[in-house]
Amino acid sequence: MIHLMIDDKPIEITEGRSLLEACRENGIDIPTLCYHPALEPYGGCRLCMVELFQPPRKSRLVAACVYPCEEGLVVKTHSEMVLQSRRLTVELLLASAYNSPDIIALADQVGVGEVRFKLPEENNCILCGLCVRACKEITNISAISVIQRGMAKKVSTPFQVASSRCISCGTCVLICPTGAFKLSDVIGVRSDVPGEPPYLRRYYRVGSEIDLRPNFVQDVALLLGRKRDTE
Amino acid sequence: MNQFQIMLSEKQPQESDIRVGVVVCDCGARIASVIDTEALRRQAAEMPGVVFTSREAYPCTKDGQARLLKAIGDHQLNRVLVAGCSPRLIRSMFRATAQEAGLARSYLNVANIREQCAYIHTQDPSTAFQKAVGLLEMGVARLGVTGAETTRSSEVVKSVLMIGSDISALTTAQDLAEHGIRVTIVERSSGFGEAIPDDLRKATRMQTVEKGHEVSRHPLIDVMFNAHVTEVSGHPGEYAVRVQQNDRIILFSVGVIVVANAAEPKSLGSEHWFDRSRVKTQAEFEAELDEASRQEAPIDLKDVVMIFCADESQRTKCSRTCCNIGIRQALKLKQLNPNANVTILFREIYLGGIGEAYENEMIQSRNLGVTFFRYRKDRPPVIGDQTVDLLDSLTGEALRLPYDRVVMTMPLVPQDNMRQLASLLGLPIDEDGFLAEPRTRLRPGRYAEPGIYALGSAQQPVDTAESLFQAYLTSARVLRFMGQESIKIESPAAQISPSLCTGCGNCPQVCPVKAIQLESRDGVLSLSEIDQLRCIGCGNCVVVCPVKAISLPGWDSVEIPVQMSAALQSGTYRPGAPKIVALACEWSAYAAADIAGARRMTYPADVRIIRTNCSARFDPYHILWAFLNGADGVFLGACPAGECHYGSGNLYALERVEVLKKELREHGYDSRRLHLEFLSVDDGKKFVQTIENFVKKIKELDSEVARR
Repeated sequence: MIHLMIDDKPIEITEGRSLLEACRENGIDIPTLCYHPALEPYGGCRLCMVELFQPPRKSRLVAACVYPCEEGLVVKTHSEMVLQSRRLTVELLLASAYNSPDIIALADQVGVGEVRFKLPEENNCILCGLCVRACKEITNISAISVIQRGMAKKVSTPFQVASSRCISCGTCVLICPTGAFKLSDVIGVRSDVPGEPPYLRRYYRVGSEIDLRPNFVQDVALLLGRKRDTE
Repeated sequence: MNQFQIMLSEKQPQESDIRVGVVVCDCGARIASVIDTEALRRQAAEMPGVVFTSREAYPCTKDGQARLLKAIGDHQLNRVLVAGCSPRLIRSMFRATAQEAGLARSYLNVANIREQCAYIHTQDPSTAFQKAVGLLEMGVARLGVTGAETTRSSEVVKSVLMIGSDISALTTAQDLAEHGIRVTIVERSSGFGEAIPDDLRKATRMQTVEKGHEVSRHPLIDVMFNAHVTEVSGHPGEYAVRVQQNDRIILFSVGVIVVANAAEPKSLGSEHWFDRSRVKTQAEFEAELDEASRQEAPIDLKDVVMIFCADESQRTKCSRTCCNIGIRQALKLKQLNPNANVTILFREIYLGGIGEAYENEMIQSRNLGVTFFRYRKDRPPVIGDQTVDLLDSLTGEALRLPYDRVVMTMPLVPQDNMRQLASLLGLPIDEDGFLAEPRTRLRPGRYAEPGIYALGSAQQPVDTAESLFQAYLTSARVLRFMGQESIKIESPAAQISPSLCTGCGNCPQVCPVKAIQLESRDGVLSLSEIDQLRCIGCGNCVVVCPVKAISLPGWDSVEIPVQMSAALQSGTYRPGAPKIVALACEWSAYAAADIAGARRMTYPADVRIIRTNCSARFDPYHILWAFLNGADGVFLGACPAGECHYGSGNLYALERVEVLKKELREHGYDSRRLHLEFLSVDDGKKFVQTIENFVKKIKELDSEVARR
């Protein structure tokens, strides 16, 4: 067991847990967007920043979801430094996802006032990577990943072509915290995939035996017969 | 056969001593802000079979799971219900915990009180609470009757069946045998290289024969000539193969099947008017050249026109070999008769091979005076009686070339037995008759089923160099597959009770993966047998079985009605509101409902969603059971046509619903109370709309009945 102080409260926790888990265990609410208990922590959204005191070092901010609990740590989850950081993070999120109800609610929660930035184009994807990780860790499929860098960074399929690996389970859509992710991005144009013919063929089949495909041989015979009649 | 091991979970408690533990999750404040979780926990404690309850802020943390593990041990729990968020996200995580505690995977279940309750009824906490109680009751009732899902594993047989013996097949066979894997090569013809047309690909043929003799000396390689595969059954890792050689029938089992049939040039056929003595295919021309060089007489040809991509199919798909052969023939002709005018009409030239050998040949031919004209795809050259008409794409000039010999390239097509072979192995074929490689770009070298690989000319025309690359790729893949000790499958699997089966033959017809086979026993009845490793657990066979001899642990014929009864009898529906039961395929309606919840869309609270694997599991008897137990409406949600994860379960569901509606009408029920909707996996909005409309319709029907 490890002992640490979170928000002036002495806390005892099993070794190997993250600060976020310690907070959740003890009823301290830390907002987060990229954390999910069924997935490995990622440290992507930077909302769960907490202030860490390790004298003689100056206090600093760390991401609670990836920082492991250590003996004797002193942590503040709602100090002015933390709140300031959170406000800026949410403000930046709002700059692109300005219509997402969850982000707006979050902004109210952390007290973001005026939003100083606004992207010309709305983009609800906050690149938390939940969909990518859920696809890999929950369903073991890995049909999507994060591509490109910087401003162009986005979630997509390899080569940005419709994925034939995708089993369309919808886990990515369900786990998306802002509702930005659409399944059509992954399987969108199924018709471009070489695996399509069996799909199409299935339309012709009813039950297990009856095949509704047109009978070409008969059609040709009919055609030929008619031709002979006219000659 | 049936050497699989069914690993039943260690603990299988009797029904009398069911001890259920219920963990109610606050999800921080997401659930607790709407539902009084403490009251919910108290309610749960009074449900039948429940011996332990707890309420936690986050049971999904590692410590929360450790506490669950401890509770299972301390209270000797054998079933666990977690009331929290969608099972699609956290069920596998909790099930791993349950497994760690020694419970079967299916003995842990999740009641979805977040996406299906707290998120959608935020404005109405008392309704949300009642619904949560209902959901918990359904979950507890289901746990009381649920069976243990089995984990199956099968050992991988360390041998390979190679169908065909072209150069790529032989290379793969040699590679595998050197790694200690037994390879059986089944060849249709009577010797190595027999299938390769003699006239055209002499080098390849010689290479194949040489390699063949080298390979057949290997102690781990058996070669069977004049043989063909007549039957394949089993599953990846262990296929039972039946091979007919002359009049002999040989049976053996293999772990992997590699299809490596050689392709052959298409014949010109008879649907043309050409003077066949002057218009020839490449193969025929090769024979002519051979004959001339053997007699050492100068060949008497003045104007020779070679048309590349002469067959229509070649204009969309390259046959890989004909450009090389054509240029070589032009060179040879120039050697035999330096005065001959050789003209090559091409669309694109593809020179394969490694290094620059073929390119040098082309340069050499240019130096010898062979003329090249390029034509456009939409303006192919036209062969006339004395001349070939052509539009030169470079100058845009129309040309008329006289000829005394036209040589046409012919595409490589799969051998005539490919269709038969594909249906034998259950593989898709493309429009040209080759085996369709499903994911060329993302997963080259892989095939539809993990134990089956296609190689070389079996899936597209390839030249020797390419097919060698494929051979090494395939042998690497096969070795990787063989490297795993056993194959483990964790999906639910249908089981058959032999004492009840009457051998009616319904289930093999509807099985999407051909896992069920009729086998005769004692010469009296034929009984079905389900291959546990093939079964994907869609439940279609369970529905069609007339004597209910098939069970599907986890989604059984008792579990679904029990959930219906629990929902309908619990009194948690709002008073006066219609009682709706929804059966939802987890790949469509259930997922859509989850997404509706996650997006906080509100829909009527009087719907209890029961999750099924596939819409093929919608049993008419279950639907009737719901009506008989007082349901006012039954809503069914299935995948749209063509999107079913289990073949065509949704079409079966549609058919069954149509029949059932007729039956309902005949027996005095209003068939409008049963509704089947096709929903995509992310159609949250459509789900909400259809549920709203359905509830409205049921209300109208109720008031109609009341008025009467």
